[in-house]
Amino acid sequence: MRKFCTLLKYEVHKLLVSPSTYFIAAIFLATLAFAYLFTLREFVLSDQSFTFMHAFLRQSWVSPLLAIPLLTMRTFSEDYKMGLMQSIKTTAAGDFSIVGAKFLATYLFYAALWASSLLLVFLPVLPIPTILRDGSFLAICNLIGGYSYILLAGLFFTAMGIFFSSLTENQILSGILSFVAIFATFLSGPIFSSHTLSSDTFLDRAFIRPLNIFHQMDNACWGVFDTRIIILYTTLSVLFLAFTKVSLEKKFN
Amino acid sequence: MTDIVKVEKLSKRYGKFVALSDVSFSLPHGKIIGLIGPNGAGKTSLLKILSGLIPASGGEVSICGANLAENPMLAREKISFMAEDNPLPDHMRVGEYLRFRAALKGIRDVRLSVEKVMRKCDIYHGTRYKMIKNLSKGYGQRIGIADALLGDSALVILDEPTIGLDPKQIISIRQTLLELRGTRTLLISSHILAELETICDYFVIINCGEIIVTGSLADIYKSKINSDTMHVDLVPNCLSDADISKFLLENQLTRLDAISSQNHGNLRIEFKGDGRCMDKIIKSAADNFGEYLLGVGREPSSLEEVFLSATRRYSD
Repeated sequence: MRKFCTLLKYEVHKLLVSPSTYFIAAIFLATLAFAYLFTLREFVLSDQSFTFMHAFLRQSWVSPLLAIPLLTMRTFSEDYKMGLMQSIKTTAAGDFSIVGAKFLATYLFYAALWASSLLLVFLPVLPIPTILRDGSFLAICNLIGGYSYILLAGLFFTAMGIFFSSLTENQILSGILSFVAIFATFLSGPIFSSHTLSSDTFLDRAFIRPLNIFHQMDNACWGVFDTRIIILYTTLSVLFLAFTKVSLEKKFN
Repeated sequence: MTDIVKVEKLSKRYGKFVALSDVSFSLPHGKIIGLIGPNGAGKTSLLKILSGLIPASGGEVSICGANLAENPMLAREKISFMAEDNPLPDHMRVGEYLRFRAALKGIRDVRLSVEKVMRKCDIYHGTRYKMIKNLSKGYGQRIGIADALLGDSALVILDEPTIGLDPKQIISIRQTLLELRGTRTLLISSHILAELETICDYFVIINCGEIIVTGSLADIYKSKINSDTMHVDLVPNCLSDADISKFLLENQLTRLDAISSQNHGNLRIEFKGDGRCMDKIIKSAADNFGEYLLGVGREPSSLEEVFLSATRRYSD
């Protein structure tokens, strides 16, 4: 545990002193701000069945799509290239500690980025406090459900990005791989759903619709959390972290 | 004398390529050991296996009694490794990096241990707060050595520790390493043979994935490697080529092995040979050259000559 904490501290420090981290944070917040303005415009111009907060979180999927590959692409690839992984591997730190520390440091930073997005959410509240009384702007279930879902899905995306980074020394390649994988995950739901829109079989109800990320987000924003989704994302995250450990072992073989 | 490292029938294959084959040796406690071999001999593979970085394809390695394959974490706690390229994180300060390494190695009193090695490697004053990226290659090597010396690991493996250092720094590092004699086992891989000859008590010569010879310099000289330079001085222009050929043949030498030259007006035949066969050569020279024989001599070989002779013979 002590070695894990040492590695975690090292990874967090590495993220904090790297200029690219701040560049990623800027991109993340810029895309969120854009999604915010876009949602605001749509919200004002047309009638919405969602609250503003709900609509905003639905639009904000571009931010993790860009931020996760950029954040994770360096984790292993850079250490492989610079030989730093070699020097860590010669100590008695286990592979689980190495993978876990990299994952947790990246995930904490990702969570911190989302936490900073709360500033955007509460920005209109400062000049117009009465806005909170109007149920069309924000419901507490949006805030708790939406952000909880974002953090849950973030576990899976981060684990996936870390895994792709462990495959290659090439940061660009690992970034592209994780971007494609996350993009495919986002797209797969709507694509499958569009094929099964007219049908209402058990397969559609049990598997295809629950796997649609936008459907999951909608449910979460209404305060409905499907336990299957929690199990799915947690399992997938653990699976990808296990794959990363295997990949790390194979790299030094 | 206890052995810190025991290597038995170690092998390493990368696909079809055999990097190490049936390598067996043991390293005594408290000695400074030089690992010598030409490029591609299997040195780096051997060091990486010993440091627990890569697994062996076969055989066994035990460090202080801990089997590296069965109990890698326990074995790794007893090893410090400084890689040839000595990778260092650019984003950290010297002291900060060494504290991180000390914590990772599970050292209890991190601050004290780091201060001790920094003083030993002369990077305490003026350097400890500097960013690693702003330091020269020589200072980078010092940080690598300081890292390897952190804690009380029984085996310290250094791959090319003095590469990129200026003569003053080499002397300083040599002194640091010599101070560790008797307390830890140091395994140093280097191509600077003169440097190794100065500091090492024990040598392991490796070529084409096989151990050629192990032992002290005296043991190596006593081994069957024909590395001594021997010469026979003769009166010039008195002997025929046939007489010389007969002598060479008797001593299992060819014209290619021997070099004829003029030495102070005399004819000198020079060849590499086993110093222990001196008596036989003197008798053979006296029988073949009789009154024209002026003298027979032997120049003890340096580690460089032993190395060249050993690796040439095995490459052939």
